[in-house]
Amino acid sequence: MKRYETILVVDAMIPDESIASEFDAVAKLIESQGKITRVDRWGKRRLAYSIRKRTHGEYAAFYYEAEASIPAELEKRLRINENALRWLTVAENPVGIPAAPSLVAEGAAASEEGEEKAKKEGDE
Amino acid sequence: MPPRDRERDAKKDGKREAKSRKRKTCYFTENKIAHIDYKDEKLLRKFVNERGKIVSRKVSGTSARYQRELAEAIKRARHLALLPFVAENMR
Repeated sequence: MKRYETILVVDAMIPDESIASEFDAVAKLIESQGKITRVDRWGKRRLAYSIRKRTHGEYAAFYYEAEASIPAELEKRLRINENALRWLTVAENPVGIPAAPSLVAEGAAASEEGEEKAKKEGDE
Repeated sequence: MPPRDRERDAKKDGKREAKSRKRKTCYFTENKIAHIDYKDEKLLRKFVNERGKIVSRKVSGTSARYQRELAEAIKRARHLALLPFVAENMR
């Protein structure tokens, strides 16, 4: 088991329920064979450049522990997922999960999302 | 931030004026930042110019170790559209 973190950017133009279900699908996949430490919803953010004509994205960060097969499977699924604009999976940094990244607050202020951010604050 | 001019920059850092100039210090070393997080947009914005380009060590004074880490972080942030690859006017 290794620690990973995945940031997923989903098209913000799709309905809220679809956004939620996209993130849920990722969470479910991870939980099938791994353990989620924390999920941060950053909310709707303006993209620094437009991606496929979209100017805004819904961001979420997943911190988890899983076998290497999980990120591989996730990658495979996101590749064919049209709602996924960008994603990045990296091995979690040696310092651990940031307590409160400055942009979480920033993203939450921009929209009323980000409610479920920092579910388990004290973890590691 | 002034536009970069390599020749002039080189001269600035030459021996002639070095003594009178205040020595730049590495932001990350000073603030004891152990790891540069690609998610920390606010921090990364300090190290890109208004064009979105990564600021050179010569200008920012960042130590070699942190400059490598910083470059990686900025590139990751760009991929996630947290930072622009090119920007005509930064927000």
